[in-house]
Amino acid sequence: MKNIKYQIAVAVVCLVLGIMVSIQFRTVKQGVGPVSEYRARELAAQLKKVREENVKLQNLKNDYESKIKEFEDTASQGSAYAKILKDELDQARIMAGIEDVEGPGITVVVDDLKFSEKVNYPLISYSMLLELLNELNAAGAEAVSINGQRIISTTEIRQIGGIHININTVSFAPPFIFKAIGDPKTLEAALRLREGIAERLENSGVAVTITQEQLIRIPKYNGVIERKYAKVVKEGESQ
Amino acid sequence: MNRKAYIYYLFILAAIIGFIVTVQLKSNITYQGIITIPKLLDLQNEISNVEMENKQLMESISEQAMRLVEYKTSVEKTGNAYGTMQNELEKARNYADYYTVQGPGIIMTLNDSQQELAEGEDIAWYLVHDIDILEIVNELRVAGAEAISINGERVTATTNIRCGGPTINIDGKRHAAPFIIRAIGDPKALEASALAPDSYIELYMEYTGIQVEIQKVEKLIINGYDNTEKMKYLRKAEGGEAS
Repeated sequence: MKNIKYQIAVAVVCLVLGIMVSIQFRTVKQGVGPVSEYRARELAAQLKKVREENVKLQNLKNDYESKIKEFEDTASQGSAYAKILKDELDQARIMAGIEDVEGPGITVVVDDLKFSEKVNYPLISYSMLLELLNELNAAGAEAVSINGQRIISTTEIRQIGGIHININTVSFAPPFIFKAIGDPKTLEAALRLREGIAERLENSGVAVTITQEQLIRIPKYNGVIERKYAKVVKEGESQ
Repeated sequence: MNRKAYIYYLFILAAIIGFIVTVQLKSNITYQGIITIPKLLDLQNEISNVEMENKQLMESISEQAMRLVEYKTSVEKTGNAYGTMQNELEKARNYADYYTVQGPGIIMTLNDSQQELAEGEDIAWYLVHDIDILEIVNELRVAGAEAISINGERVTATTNIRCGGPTINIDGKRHAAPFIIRAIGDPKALEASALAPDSYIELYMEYTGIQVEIQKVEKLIINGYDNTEKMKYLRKAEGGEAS
């Protein structure tokens, strides 16, 4: 029977076609489809350029910083008054988050590890980081940074889309590394509380690693603090 | 059906397969298949990150250049740098939230829901929680708030907000509803962020009937942070680069 032969042939061809189409679709859907190498090279070149610029700017900034430091240090040796002034200045800058600080504390690494390969939604939300930060503060953290971004009073933690979260307007993907200065034991215990933040994060598939440290260093806030609207009310001024 | 029809079908199918195979092969030559879309996005993300950092660096450099000029003129004019240091101190204390500030902004009042409880519902649903305030404060920061207070307590970098039974502790001090959040910044931006359809208030608070009132104000006053407790663990880092 020739008809059956033809039908089988058509069926086989359709099967092959179907498989090809579905493979194609899957590749595109997973977002691992190949893209033009040209575009990638272009981006790599651009990245190199901005990184070079970054190094130059960083050096320039360090120059200025050391010059200012020199001025302040020399001035503070001038008199007892100047010394007190300088101490107060350091103290205020530490509180404002515009001075590098160090002390004992903990490092907390919050990561989605390999879970992200299995689930295609972001495991770590900004709310988790917000709550973790709040817990650290409640446990007496004196200074905190996330991925090197010093937390100051205007720091925002904002989901940007997908797995990216902005901190001080800089975008980060997991892992999120918290550094907090304070009593290491108290800080860890507060996070490890039963049904506390660490347990809740772990239950939703997020890996939390806490390390107590004798000495950690937290950098100062990198940006420029702007006070365009909020003006200082001088004492005795009418309200 | 006659045989000819089958032959036509086969011919068309063969043509389609041939076309697809050719396209596939051709793409494999142009596309190396090593660079994937996520990698490309990572690259793009990295670039915009560094660009953002560069912008911040430039701003901070120009700020420091100005400071240096101030120091130099101060030393030239008065023979010492006290004046500039005093100014620097004022500025740092302001950034550390020690000073009372005033400016335009919004006043937001949050009150527990007055809705009747349906059977089996938990009263907790209808109360303002620590998380709610935490999220709202974060959104105000996103909208550019420069100073924030909750029931008169200035919100600083280390402020913590926690439920403690029927009250909410802000930096360990008890506060009960209504919660009055004051924020200084661009009133329009602050209000818009609170009222946006995807804002925390709209998404999680409106439907439980928690009462939210937002008022734009030309001038409001936010008290300075008055806790001068000494830091026990923190000290200025000496020399070297922070990691």
